[in-house]
Amino acid sequence: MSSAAKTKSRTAFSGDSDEDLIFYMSLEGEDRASAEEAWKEFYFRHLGYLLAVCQRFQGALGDLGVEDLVQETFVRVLKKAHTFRPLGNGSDHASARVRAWLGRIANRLFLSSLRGQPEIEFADDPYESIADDPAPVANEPESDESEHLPLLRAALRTLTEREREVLISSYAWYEPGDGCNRMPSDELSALCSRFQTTAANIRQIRSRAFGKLEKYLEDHGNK
Amino acid sequence: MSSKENKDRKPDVRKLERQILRAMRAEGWLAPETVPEVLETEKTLADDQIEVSDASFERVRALLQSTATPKVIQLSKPKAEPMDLSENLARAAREGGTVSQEIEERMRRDRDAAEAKNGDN
Repeated sequence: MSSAAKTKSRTAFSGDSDEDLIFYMSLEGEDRASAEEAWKEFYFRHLGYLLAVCQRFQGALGDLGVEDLVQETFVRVLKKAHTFRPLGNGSDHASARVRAWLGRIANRLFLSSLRGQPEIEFADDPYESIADDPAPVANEPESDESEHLPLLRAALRTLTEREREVLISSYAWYEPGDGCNRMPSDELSALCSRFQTTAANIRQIRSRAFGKLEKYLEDHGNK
Repeated sequence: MSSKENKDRKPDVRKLERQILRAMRAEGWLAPETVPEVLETEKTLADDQIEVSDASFERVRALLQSTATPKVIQLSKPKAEPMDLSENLARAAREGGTVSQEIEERMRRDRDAAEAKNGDN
């Protein structure tokens, strides 16, 4: 991968942990100068990582879209710093947990951008979508679903490029309780335009993609 | 498929959708969202450091300002003494159109301020 994972620190907060930085950032309303300085340190510390992981969206967003996504993610981190629940300094993988939070925000923004918006919409209420999305409290436990992960990954690789894109797009409407079947017809039209096809065809492609994944799991006897 | 069969099947579908989402992250289609995923991803990233210019951060700061500031044109406060009510009304009449509630409110404040000032004198 061409992007580097680290960037050099250059602020007064360079010795502070990620969790401490987020704490200072959460005080934006009371001490804006310190909050912004902590945010700057956070930005320099994680920019390389976030740029690297967001490169995976380059196909859908383009280079400029990736930059916008990264920038917007950092803005939301500052605005949502008060929702982050720290585990305490010295906790195992505290920094990785912060990056997991970054990834969650970036994914939300990316998937939102697929909801009929060719570009990241900054004029939208930028903070609402993660208002009820607090950071994970602890390392997410590995469930029994993990054993199927390698098989599902292999199954994903059997999809065509178009099936892959439609599948990702269908997750723009994913809700943990409701799944990702709620694809509003008006927003679907934007997808149709992007894929140069009809709504019925989009649904068919999505259905076929899910079907292929299910069949792959069945055929390999591990469902 | 009957509605009962469909209902019985739903938890499986939800589980599969959840698993697919996780597999998509593991495949690098989406950003890592869990600690194990992040640790796995970090192993694949180059370990060298890159220089990031301050200008890069300033662009993000500018974005913060643009999202934090309501897209409303702020009226600057008048530097001169507030005009009296009759002058405001005369100007409204000269320029035509209706007197908006906002202008009316400002005129009321001007008048109250002028009366308070006169009362002090």
